[in-house]
Amino acid sequence: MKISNFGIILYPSTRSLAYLHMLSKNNIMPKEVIVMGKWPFLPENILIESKKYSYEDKYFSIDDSLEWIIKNKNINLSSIDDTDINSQELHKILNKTKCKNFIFTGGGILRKEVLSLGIDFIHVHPGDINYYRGSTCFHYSYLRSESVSCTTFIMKNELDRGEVLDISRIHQNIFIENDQSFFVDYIYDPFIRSIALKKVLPYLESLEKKNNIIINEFHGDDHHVIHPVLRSLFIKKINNSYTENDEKGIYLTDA
Amino acid sequence: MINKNIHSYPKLDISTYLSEFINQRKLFLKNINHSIDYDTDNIQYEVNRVIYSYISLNKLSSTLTSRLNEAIVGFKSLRVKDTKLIMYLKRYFELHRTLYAELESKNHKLDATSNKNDINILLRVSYLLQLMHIKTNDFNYLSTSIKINEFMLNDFTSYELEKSSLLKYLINYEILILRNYNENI
Repeated sequence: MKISNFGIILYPSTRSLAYLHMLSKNNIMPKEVIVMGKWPFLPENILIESKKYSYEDKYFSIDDSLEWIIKNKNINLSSIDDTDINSQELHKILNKTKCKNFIFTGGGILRKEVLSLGIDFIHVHPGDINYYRGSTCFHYSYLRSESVSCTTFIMKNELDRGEVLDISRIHQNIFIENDQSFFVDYIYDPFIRSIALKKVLPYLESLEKKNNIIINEFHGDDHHVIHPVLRSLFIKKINNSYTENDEKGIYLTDA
Repeated sequence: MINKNIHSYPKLDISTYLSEFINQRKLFLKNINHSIDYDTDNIQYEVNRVIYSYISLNKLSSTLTSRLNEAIVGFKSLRVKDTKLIMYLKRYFELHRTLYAELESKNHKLDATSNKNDINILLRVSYLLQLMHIKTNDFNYLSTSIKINEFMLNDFTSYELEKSSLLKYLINYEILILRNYNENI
């Protein structure tokens, strides 16, 4: 496995697991891994659902033991108790790092002190940032226009500014069963971000940017957390568009 | 350190959640003896009638109520500044779960010293968000409107709710919108 000169901050979430899975599948590992909070973190009922619906085979490994990272001596591993991306503890580690790019797996807004460390934090947003802001925006875009996109961008020192590395469109042909309660938040959301992140791996390895997609200011409207009744409508719409004879799964439309 | 709980949504029974939600809303209307036979045109007509009657009886209503009344009755040719106002109020409610009855005269921001969560303001904002959803097909507006309606149904007394001449139309409108999606999406 190739160790590349970037880092990843692992917030205890399935998004971290999805990103790690994607990196390992592509034989790339970050030089530096910072683990936040308490691991393993997954509740038993997600593991049961995952087993029943084969999430590991279809999407990503939800092994949250991190054993394979701990065993790899070429990876600089550190851990902190805090899960706040702006914590002093994390700030101290980042201050010493030689990596200039870190994949961001958490939520919240990075404060100036963190952003001014000279590190590029790469974030995947589950929507086209030109139109949609907010963590549940893929529900809104799908309900409105049957489209789901992800934007990978470098977070900047000002709110709503950043350098876009890629905007990917996602297609799915899936049927979400009634008892897949964790699927949308814990599998679908992190999985679409991970397949979008894959597209910028060449950048992470070489730091060579594509030259035609720099957008420095986002104008998308705030899309606040969607009401559960519309969320159920989103699932219903996904299920209604499912066709048994077409290719099943979730994938990039331009892959 | 205990990790934050990231379960942001209630466990949903996908097949029945939406219809149960609609049934609860229907039950509310039944309890206040409102027929749900109205179609969207009837509702818009009735809401405009209530607003015009309010305007004629309340010449000295708050600046914000007046602005919202104007936006409702003139919705077909909504001014840019009214759209901006609706967006501002939408965002404010999402962030604070609160709206105030007055705007500050200088900067046109909500005046936090004025009446908090006046049902007349909440009703008008929610209705305008329903109209915005119908006009644009953007579910962002509908989501906040449902949240405001839920807030009113949970936080106001049945006396206050029954006294309102607009609420029944709003809930009726919400049922029609959601029922249409439930059947046709």
